Amino acid sequence: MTSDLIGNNVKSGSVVFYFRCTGRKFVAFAAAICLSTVICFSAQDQKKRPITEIKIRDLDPTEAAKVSYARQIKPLLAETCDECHSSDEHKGGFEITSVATLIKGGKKASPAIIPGKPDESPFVQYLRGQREPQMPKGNPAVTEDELHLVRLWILAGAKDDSDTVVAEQKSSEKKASTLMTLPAGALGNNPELQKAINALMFSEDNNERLFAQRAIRLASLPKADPPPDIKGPVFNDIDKFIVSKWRKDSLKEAQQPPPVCSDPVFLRRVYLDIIGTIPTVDEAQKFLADKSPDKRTKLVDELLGRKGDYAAQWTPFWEEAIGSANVDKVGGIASRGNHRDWIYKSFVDNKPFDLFVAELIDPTLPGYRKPIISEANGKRTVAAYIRNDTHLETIQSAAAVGQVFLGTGMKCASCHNHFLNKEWPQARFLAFAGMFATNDLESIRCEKPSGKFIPAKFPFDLPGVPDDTPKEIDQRLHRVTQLLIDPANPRFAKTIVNRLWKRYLGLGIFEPQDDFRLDHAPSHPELLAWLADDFMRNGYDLKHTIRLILTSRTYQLKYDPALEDHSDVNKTEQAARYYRSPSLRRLTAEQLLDSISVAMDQHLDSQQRLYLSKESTALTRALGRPAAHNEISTARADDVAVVQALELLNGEEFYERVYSSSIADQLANQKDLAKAMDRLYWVALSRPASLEEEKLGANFLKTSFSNLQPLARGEGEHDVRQPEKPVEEVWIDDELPPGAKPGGTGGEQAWKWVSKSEGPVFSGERSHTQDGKEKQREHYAAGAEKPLRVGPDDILFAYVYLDAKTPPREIMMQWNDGNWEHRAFWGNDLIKFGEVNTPSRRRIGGLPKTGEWVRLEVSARQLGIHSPVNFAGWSFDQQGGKVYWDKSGVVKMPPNPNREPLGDVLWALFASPEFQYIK
Amino acid sequence: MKAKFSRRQFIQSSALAAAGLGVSRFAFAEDSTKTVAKLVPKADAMIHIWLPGGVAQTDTWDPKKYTPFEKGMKGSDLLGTCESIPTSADGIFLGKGLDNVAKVMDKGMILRSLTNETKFGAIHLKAQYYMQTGYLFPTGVRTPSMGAAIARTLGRRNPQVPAYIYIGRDIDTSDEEKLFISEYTGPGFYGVKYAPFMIPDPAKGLSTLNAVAGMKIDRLDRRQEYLRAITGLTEQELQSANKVKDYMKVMEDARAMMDSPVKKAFAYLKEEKPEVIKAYESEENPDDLLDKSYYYGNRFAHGLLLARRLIETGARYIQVEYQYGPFKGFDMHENGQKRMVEMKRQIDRPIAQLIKDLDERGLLDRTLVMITTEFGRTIASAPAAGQEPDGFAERHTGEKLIVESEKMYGFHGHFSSGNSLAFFGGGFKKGFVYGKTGDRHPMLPIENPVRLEDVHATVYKALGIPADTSYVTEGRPFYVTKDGKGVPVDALLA
Repeated sequence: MTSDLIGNNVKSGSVVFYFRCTGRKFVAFAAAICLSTVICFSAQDQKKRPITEIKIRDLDPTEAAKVSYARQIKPLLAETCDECHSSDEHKGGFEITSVATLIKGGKKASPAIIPGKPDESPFVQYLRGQREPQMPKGNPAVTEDELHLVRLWILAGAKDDSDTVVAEQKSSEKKASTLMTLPAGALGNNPELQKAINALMFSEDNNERLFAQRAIRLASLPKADPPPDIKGPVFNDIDKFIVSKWRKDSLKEAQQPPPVCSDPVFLRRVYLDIIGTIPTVDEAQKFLADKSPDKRTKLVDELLGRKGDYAAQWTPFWEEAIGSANVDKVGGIASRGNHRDWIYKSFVDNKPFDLFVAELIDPTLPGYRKPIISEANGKRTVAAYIRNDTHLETIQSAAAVGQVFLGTGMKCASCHNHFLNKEWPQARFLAFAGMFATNDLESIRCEKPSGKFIPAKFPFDLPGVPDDTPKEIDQRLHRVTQLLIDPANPRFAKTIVNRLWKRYLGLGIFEPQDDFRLDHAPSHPELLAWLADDFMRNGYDLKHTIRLILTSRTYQLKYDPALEDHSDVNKTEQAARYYRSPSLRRLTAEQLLDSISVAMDQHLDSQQRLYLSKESTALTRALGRPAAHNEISTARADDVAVVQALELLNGEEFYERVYSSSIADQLANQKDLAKAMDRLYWVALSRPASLEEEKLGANFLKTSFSNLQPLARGEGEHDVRQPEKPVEEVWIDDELPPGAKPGGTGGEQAWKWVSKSEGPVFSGERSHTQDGKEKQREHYAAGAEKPLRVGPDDILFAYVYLDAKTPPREIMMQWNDGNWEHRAFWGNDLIKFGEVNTPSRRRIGGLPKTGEWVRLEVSARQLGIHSPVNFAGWSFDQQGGKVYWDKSGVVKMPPNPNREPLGDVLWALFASPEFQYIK
Repeated sequence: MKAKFSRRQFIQSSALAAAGLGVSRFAFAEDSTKTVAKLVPKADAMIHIWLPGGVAQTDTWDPKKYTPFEKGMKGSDLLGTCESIPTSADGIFLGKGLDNVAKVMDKGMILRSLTNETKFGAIHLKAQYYMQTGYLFPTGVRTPSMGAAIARTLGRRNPQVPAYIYIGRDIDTSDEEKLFISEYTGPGFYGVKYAPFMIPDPAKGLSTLNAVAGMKIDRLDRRQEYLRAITGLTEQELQSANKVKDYMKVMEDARAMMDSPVKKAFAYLKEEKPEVIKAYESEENPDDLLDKSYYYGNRFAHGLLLARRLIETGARYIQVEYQYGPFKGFDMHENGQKRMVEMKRQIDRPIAQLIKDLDERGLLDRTLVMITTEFGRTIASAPAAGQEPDGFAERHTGEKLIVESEKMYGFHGHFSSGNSLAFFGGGFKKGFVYGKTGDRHPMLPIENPVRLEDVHATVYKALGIPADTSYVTEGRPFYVTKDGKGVPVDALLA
């Protein structure tokens, strides 16, 4: 037979190229295509597959009557048979599109279904392998439950209970609306359901309508199967699924469950996972000292309650997943828009996830992310999440939505049928993409327009969806959003819960997380279905599911590399996953650098978090933070590389972050080196140092201290040293810094020197002011030859005099190190440079007292300076009033001599794998 | 959810069975290049001299008739703002101002007919992206640059020298354009392993190869030893994890790099004779420049010298950029003639000296030096920058433009339709010109037009890389030339 055919050909060395098809034909391509390639099927595929016997059960007519075609049979067949028997593919002339076509059958058997007689129906016989080849061909057979369901349905008459019009009836006239009648009391007395119906009927708030639709749909969907009834090492329902698989596969862990991780490990995990940084020492010690049995759950709740910190942890992820940019346009190229603040606020408010996604796409919602349109040189650019000005933009936007929110890789299908995933012929993808376009899309295969236009259509069949797609673009987008977030959508909820699972456990229930395929089994399909269902029924509340995962025993298992699961995206046959241990995860750039800030300052400054920084540096890039979000991404690679190690080893930025004086100050009076080591371990690793670690560290410190400069008179040998005094460096007093040019509102004349006879002077012979008429005005000195060098521990200062009779409403100073994005202000936030609450517009306090000279101070850290910068310009700004300025410069804080030894220890702790990874 | 023996598995198993010239679109396993025919490389290393901004080919590599400024002259009569000069290669002329390069022209060749159908219009970044990656933005994938592709495919020459080194571009930045640029000059989806080692200022070398200021080496080593020791005290589970082992190894590799002889290569100011250094420098007086803010001192010139030294030490791919600045340098939208005079002075001696030096050291034959820019220049359609509608300049004849002032005298329009690239050494022909452009605007290629993907394919071929080499991302192959379809232009190779 066919296998012999291949065998012979291989032996004789002739050149035949077999093209894999479903169906029973082979297409042999001539040598013209590739002369010297011998590519053949593994003989395995051509051998006859053994029939899978499926146990059949007795059929109960009462049970049979309850089976719904629309809700149960149709989705089952779609999943099982659609690949070959869709209306596009219809192998063997058989398609599963409707009950009519199912009954009709195909070339091999017609009719395929005999209503009332399941076991005589060829359809069932094929499923059972009584007719060959057993269906679904080339795939594992249906399960016992699935077969039973089909037989029940046929027994009850193979009835069609869909209310949609069968797809074959392509009538162009709009059908007259049919009267709908429901039996009295059909909806019962459920007040919530009534509320939802009222919202749909009367509400003008489209958010309310969205929630109402969701509620009504959920009411009509069967709940997911509950978790198996497992007693044993379980904390919540999630664990039941996990343990059940251990038992099913007879793993030894079923009898000897792996241990739960220790408190210090748990502490660090949840802090990093929920708020993206390590705890402070106080927080860590409080948790570890707590004796209450439910302290872990309480900690999770407490951290989830820190809204801003929680939102800050999520924001960079969604910025990358959406492709949110800092600006609307760069070099003339429109971006997808700047969504950072909206993302942040959505997470602070814990916005329901379906609404969050909907606001990106649906113009009919009040919170819709409106495109930013700008015109320049007759060219219109649109910065928007969904871009549909050109064919290419439209399909990329659709592919992005598919990837991120449906967890499905469709990109390949934009230009041709997906080579690797049969679910996605090009037509199916283009139909989806068409829903984002103003008009149906043309099929352009491999850059050749075909002239064929594909009607827009959502790729998954959901109950009740009309055949035709709205013509108007806003309505199309509304429709595609509805279908995207519909609880009946098989992938939306599963995709996001899978992402959550992957985030915290390291590997998703389905992998890759962006490419759900019917031919790659999820590791725990029932868990996935249940988690998704539970998520939807709890208001699409991410925190709900996060809490569930983080309080499960599975999440809390101890890390064990021998038990860790692995996933190789290049292999179709996935190694089974059991989640007997979490996967080792690397800290992201944000988690790493934010945690170091917390460690150094013992305080989480929400305005200093890395995700807010517009600057990309060698260190952040080496740690994986992308410089720009031109392309979307849902995961960062956690590669290690020499370029990264060099930054950690010798990079100036890393050095400055780790070697700041604050730790040295914190340990200023600690004479006992072992105690100092213990403190350092608490600071960096959120746990006490073991005796061995204390000894090792104390020895290291001892040698380090003795290597330092000779002691000042009177100091002990290994004493913590007295730092030298700070030094004030004046930059502007009576003259501009050398080389600097004045400028400001109105040009060079903006800078006006004021002598003692003309106005108040604090130091030297003169002060300076801005004499203009504009309310908001400034004067500055820029382009100094010798810039002012400012380090992270330093303090900028200036003297200011606010006129008592005409004070300003705000004063501001700006500094230029290549750009002016370092600003500090006092008073009302009226001068709108930069972004408030960031180093580019930092409020220091209220207006200083008027009528007298006041010293203003701004610490470099408040301006986001973590490593030394060079300021070549200094600007003095005001909103109204009369303001005089005098002596200004920087107070250089000398390096604390203890910085180096203590810094070295900290550097090693921060560079150690225990810090760099979450275990 | 059923598993099946899908095409993917078929491909997996067949890729290993394929031999000879495979249909490589299916051979996208990690070691794809090993299953296809081995190309014999003509070059082992590459220096990519990147001059972004859009160099006016009419005044450099593809000089046209010199038409001096006359107030009121028609744009269509403005064919060249400088004279042509003969070179050491028979029959090949360059724009005056490239006198030094002219002396070494017999060692290289010029491609004058690079063209593409994409009109980038006013968008430099897209054109630069295209030149650097071979793909049109947006691709839907974080596209790797040529340097990363070469680094990944060929690896390091000398194990101590990074495979991809980038000289002359600032690293730390919040400037949006620079951020975009760092993405397309980066490794894209290949990841940080193939990221370039950045050297913004050659005089400072690769800063992270040296300990931080104030850190003595023995202190650094003590600290490293301490790191090893505390890791040794950490839980066994962590120590035995593969990821951790890789991490610690890479830390050791980084430390080792600090001691390698590679470091000497960076110390050119110390190691080279002053006259050698001077020979690279241009003779520019910053005070005379039209735009003083675009003067980077000797960054470019010394960058080429450093590149030569790194090649000598065994680098694989070095890109030296005259850092792009919008409307600066080659990106001229006014005063074109004056700008070109200045910019040619900046690049002429350094480039010529590099070629000379490589040749004298016997390195030129196996080192490819490629000089590129993202598009050429043509007569603008409007008197000042930013007024021409998208892409219009491509077909402009200059009939309607009147050159009123010296400010308007020059080639101020973007011209994706016709661009020149130069190649020295590395298996490319010598003393040769390929392709011809028209003598009147628009100066489209009239002979042997060449597409960019084919140029890339040719470069890759010279280095021994098949044009359809690919790496997998998101479950599918991504090729080093556009869709793997680049075809080497053998006429360019010796």
